[in-house]
Amino acid sequence: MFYNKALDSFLEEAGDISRFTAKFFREFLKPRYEFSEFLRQCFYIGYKSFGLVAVTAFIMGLVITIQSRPTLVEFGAEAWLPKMVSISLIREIAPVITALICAGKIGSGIGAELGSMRVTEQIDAMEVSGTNPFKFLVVTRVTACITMVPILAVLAIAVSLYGAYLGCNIHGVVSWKLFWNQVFETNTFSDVVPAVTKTFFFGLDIGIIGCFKGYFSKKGTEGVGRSANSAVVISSLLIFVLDLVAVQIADLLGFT
Amino acid sequence: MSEKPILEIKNLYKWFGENHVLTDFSLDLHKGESIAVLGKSGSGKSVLIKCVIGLMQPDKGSINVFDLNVPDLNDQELDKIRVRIGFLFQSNALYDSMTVRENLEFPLRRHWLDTKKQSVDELVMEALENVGLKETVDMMPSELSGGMRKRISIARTLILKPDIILYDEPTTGLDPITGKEISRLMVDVQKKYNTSSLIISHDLNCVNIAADKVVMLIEGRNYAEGTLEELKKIDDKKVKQFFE
Amino acid sequence: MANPTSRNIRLGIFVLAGTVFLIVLLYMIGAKRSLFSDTFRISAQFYNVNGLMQGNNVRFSGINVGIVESVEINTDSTVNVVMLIEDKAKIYIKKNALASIGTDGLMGNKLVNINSMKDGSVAHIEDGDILKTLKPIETDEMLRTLSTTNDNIKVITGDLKNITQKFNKRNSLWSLLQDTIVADNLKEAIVNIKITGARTAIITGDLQEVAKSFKSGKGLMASLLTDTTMAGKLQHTIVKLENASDKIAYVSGDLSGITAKIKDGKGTIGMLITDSLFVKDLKSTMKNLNSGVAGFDDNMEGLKHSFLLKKYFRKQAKLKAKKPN
Repeated sequence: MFYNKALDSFLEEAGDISRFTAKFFREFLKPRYEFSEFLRQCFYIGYKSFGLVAVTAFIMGLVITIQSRPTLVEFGAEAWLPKMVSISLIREIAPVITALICAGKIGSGIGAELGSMRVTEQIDAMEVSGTNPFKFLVVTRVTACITMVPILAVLAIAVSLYGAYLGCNIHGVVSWKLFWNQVFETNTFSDVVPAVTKTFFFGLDIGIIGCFKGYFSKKGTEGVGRSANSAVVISSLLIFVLDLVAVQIADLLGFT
Repeated sequence: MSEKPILEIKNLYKWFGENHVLTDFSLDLHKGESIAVLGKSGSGKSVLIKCVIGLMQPDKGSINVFDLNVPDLNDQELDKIRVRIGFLFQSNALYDSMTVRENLEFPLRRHWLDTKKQSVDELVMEALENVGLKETVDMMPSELSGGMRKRISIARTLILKPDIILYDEPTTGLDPITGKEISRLMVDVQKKYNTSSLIISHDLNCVNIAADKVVMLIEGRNYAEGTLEELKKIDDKKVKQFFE
Repeated sequence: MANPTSRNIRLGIFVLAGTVFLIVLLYMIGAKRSLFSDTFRISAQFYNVNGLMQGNNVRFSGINVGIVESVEINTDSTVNVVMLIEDKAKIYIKKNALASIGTDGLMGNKLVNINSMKDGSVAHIEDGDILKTLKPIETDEMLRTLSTTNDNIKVITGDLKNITQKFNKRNSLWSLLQDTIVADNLKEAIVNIKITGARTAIITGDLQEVAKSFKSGKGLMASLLTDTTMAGKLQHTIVKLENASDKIAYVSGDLSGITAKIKDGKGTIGMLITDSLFVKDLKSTMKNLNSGVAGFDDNMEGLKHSFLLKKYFRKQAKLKAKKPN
């Protein structure tokens, strides 16, 4: 039907990923939960990524504040710095930066790990050992991503706001209390709720793409490398697409 | 050996698109017997045993294990027969993220969820003792040499005390001396637990040591059968290839 | 290799930290929006809400005390605004408080200002009360009022000039014959003008201040955004200005009546002669006049000197004070 080969393979992959996602939800609902493996994955995906996410978020908070100051000073609205910065950090920057960092770290990690497990027949070995490898490997990792990425994003918001607080105090003086007062006053539920909600989907994206790429890795070490690489590329791209969709939906629902 | 075979493969077909890997392959494995399937790379040996364990679905034919036809089984039933069939993977398939102990415990915990901690420990140590690697119990697979990994892999297969062990190229990637050691270990294990073995290999040394009977898999069929000595005498171009 | 227990503990701390921060964030935002404290409802009906929205702040004397819960069109000329007010503000807001629509800074959000009136004897506000409202004042409306005021002042001065000229030209007797009414009217007018003058002076003072802060300062926005007292003053000024312009309109009405009468002087004089009743009155008037003329002349002189009259009367007062009796 389609004679364009690139388009053809793109559509085929999109279909495969959709089916993979559907399978994830089916398997997720079936009993025999791999809870201890889930906790183990949460530890690696959540706790182990926190340092990286925190450093990035802190720097972003600081830099955005320093960068925004000159324009606001021009308008004589320097007092609005905490408000403006906190809105952009909470609504957009912290969640997306977290997701991108996670796509880089977790997505490639899962892609490479499952890829090498596929290549060295560990996935087959699991199946032979009476374990549903999809449940044991994919469901635990994707669920861990879905739960950990939002927590990372929330902590990233906290850390980036702290960075913004320090940024406000480089040239001007904004007291700790005034800063938080302004933050809490400016931001509403309609800023926080959509921002946190979309990170669940970012987590799903990172987990699914990483697992999909790794689970169906081609034979050989090259296949593993390619799995890890394309997991990062596709999930990062999808994060932006999801972000676009999220902003439209939030707009439609009246979270402006 | 007139009793009923515990593994009976009949008229098995498997093809990938145009590529016909197995065409009308049949094989019987009796209790305590050790059969080697000899074939070139890419001749469908691995496909054959993956069909036996249910990792792949044949396109036609039947595989009877313990009077059950494998292609017809659902997941729960497959799990039940998989407890009784050990599978030694070509690349060992040790879980990189787990210690040797956890690797060995894995199938145990999965299949018998109610196993007590004490007996799990005992079984792990027993299995390790059989392959002579008791001291590696708390090491990671990445710290072990190729031969040691193969032994650990055998230990993991043995831990469930299976009736049949399927060996997928057990000596590939090992030096000839280690390969011989592994082959001897396979024979020891078979004697000790009275298991049946189905060995997929192209390594004549291994086949010579470990197998009672050899089946030549050529062009997807059981081209020739017999002991290694008998096969060597067959005057056929395709069979001769293996002994040159 | 970390053992699973310590791993799970660290994971637990991590998850807990994230959850706690999220809850704190949501709670603090909620607290700012008065969602978690005890509240009561009051409403007010406005003619025009200038884009006030659900969730905007409600301030009492400049302090946030609640939020706007709903804005609904009531009739073709009123918009009903329901406000959620924190319970702790209840004891400060009186029933006669005045609600108005304001802006937080020059470009900020709209908000509802509640200001208390001076009369402190009124009861506290209660749930469901409806506040009186003040029509929101827009800048162009304010400028319009100012220009009418100016026009009116122009007319008044013109009229006064006419009057004084006429008094100077005419035979003083005939003028004086008419003058019981005129004198009264003029006196009244002068008093009014005096009040107006005083008010205008205050207003111009305020406006000057406003203009000054408009001109000075690093930016108009800066001062308006940061200075809430300024905004308050501006509103105050505008209210006064409205009052003043009303008064001026009143005065100018009076004065034009007077001038009209003076203009058709002849007819009046004829009427006066034929009117016996008026002649009687005239007699008594003449008596009074003796004493009155002096004061009146003073007044006229004063009008000549200065429009705002202030100085003159002050001078007169001083002179009087100097006299022994």
